[in-house]
Amino acid sequence: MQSPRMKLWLVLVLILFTHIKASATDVVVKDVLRTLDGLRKIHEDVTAKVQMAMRDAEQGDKLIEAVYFAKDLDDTFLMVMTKPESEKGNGYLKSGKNFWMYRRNTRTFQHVGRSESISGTDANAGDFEAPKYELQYTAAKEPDGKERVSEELLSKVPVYKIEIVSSVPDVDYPKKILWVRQDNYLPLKEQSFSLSGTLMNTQYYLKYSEINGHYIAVKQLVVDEFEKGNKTLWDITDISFKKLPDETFSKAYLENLSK
Amino acid sequence: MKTLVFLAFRNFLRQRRRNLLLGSAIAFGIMVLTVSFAFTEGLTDTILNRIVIYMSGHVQVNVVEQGRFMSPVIRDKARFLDAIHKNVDGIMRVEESTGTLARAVGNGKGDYVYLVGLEINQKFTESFVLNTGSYNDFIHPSYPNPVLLSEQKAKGLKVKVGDAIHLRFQNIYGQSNTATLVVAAIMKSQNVWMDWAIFMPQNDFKAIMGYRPHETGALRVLLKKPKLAPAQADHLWQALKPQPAYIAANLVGTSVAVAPFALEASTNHVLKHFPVSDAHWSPESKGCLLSSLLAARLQKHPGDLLTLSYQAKFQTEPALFTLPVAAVVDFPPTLSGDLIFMNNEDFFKVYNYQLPANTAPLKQWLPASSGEIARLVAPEWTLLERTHNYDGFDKKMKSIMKFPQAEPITDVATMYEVASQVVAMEGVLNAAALIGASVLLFIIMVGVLNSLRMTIRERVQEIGAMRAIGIQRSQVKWLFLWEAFFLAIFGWTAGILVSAVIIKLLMLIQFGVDNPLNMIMVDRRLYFIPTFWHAAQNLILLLVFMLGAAYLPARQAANLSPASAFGHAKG
Repeated sequence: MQSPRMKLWLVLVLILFTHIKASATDVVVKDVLRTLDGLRKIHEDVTAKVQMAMRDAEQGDKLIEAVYFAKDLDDTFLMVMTKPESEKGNGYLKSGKNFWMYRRNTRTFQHVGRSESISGTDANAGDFEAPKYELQYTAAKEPDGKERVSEELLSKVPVYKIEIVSSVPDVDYPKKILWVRQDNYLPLKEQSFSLSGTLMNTQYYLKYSEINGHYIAVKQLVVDEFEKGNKTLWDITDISFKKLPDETFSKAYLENLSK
Repeated sequence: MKTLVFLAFRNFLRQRRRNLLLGSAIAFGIMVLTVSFAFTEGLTDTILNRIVIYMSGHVQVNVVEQGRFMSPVIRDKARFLDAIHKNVDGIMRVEESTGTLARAVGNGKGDYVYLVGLEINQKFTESFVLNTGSYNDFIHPSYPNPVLLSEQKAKGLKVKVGDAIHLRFQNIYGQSNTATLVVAAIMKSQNVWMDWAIFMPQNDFKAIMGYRPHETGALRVLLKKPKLAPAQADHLWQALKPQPAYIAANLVGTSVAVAPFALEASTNHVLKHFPVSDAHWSPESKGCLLSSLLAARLQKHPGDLLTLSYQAKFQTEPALFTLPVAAVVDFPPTLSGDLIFMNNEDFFKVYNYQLPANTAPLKQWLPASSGEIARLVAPEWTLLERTHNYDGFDKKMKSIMKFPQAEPITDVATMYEVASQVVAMEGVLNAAALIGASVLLFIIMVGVLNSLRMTIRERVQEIGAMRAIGIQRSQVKWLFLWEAFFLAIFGWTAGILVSAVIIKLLMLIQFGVDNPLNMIMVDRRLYFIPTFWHAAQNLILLLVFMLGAAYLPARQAANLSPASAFGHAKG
């Protein structure tokens, strides 16, 4: 038989628990997506060194290094490969809707599609553009209409697990699950699914650096879930937000850099 | 005449050793000619009937959206088929061309493949020779997504009949998608093109790629006379000239038309007719341009949302879309106030996905009197200029990459553009074979000429005797020409027989997988088609050379007088 005091405690705990659950489901996915876009949008020019260490189950390991320049505001970027020797001097330039690939050996520029692989990696132009989650995705809903959001601990960090689905047809992955920190919405993990619902890759945001008030995911691991054993470790170093002249994002500059 | 022919044949048999040597030389020349022509005929067959028709057909119609040229999509298949059947003569058949590049993972092994949607018809089994499995499992499967692949590809993916292949690819919207395929049958390797492909029933392919029943990839037209492809493509191109794009829609009970700005419409040009006060506005701006009349009637202002509905062509329920008002402006008096303009990209994203039924014509809102304003409206697709060689075609394809626009890009091409290098290879090989064999035959003919001159020299006495007993000059001439004729027939027959054996032997050799010539081989073997026509052509060529070479010595012999012939013999 429970005492009235015990009953009161139980009611209080129940109220508290209900309140915590309610606050978790109170998270509006649209707000999270907007914050995510905002957090990762850098309103300044960026210069950085990018290293991609790839492990391919069939082809072995490959290390690619590049210098990256970006005008984040209008999705313009230029990238020149510095390693390995076979890729050195090759580059990519994206300006507006135009995306060119430059080949040092032939000294030619060629238009390529946004989904074209960058130097044989699993990265494409979209990976170097500012994310547009709010425009492209919306919350996945439970049968009762509630958004699919839950609270979890990810490596002891409290996170929201959010399931989103594409709201426009032309996105790479029609479904994603994001694990974002509860305190600042920074993503820690992201799973991307194909149209048929197959898990295609898992992206781990291993390390963030706060530079000039911007959170940059300086270390990321992308695990290919479709072809087991393939993964890519991204390392971003030497980040600078110095203003870049407009000529940086030109074919001539890319050609000059690749010499 | 009969006696003359008999005498010529007897003389032909009498000169056994010499004729055997000469006949062997002729047989060698004929053998080279026959084998060369059979090879180029086989090559032509491989190129036109095994490569080009799968690559492009004889005429090909392609529609590309958003620069995704690897996944063409024709939204209104029936309309394009109708245009083809009405404007192309001598059609053998029209095929839907559907295929995409994909990453396949078999039993622990991955490889890039070209996934092809195969139309199941009576003809399709003729293209494959099965090693294992059955057509029945492919045509009437008891499992989803049956596929047919070459033994080479099956080996690469380490799969057998009944095994699963996991596939990663992008659908027609660029979305990542996966599918599990089941190996229904494994076919014999025929050439590198076939080895690279995995075939699945077209309906299954279209389902996983996101094509709806009224949509398809490219359309391939196969003609009875492939060489007429350029002229037929030109006719079709004329018929595919686009109309202005618009959506006849309903906006709160008002019949309106929504039209996209043309990609070429500059801001200044548009502002000349529609004086938008917002300095940041351009034809590419999001949202729509609303007439002040319609805005007042609907009480809408810039920033407000419009919800429009329209009758879609391939859907019974009305299609819906929302549109923010970007600007309200006074329309020119020639124009209906119920016309709404919007940016090209957003318009075509709606339009392409649900083509409108458009029962009311655009002139209801945009009359002919509207003059150059009509040119501000985008066409339903951009029709690329016709090209006639690979360079022009290549330039066109690069332009698609350059402007990844939502407005569809339509192209009509022929095998002479798409596969011009492959087709040109056939012509070059044919010419090379003819020139090489002609040179060889000419050298042999020089030998024949010398040999006949020697024969005449040796038989001067015999000629004198024949002339002495009353045989006419022309009969002497014909005697030698008939001898040359028998020599030609003997050499030709021997050459044909030897070439038949050589072709048979060459067709037995199976080359390695990595042989660069695999693309022109069948089942990794050289492929020959000897024809009666080529054999007859070779015989005519040989007779022309032989009789031409024999004519002068024969005439020389005929012109000998009996006295000088005997005198020559005595001397």
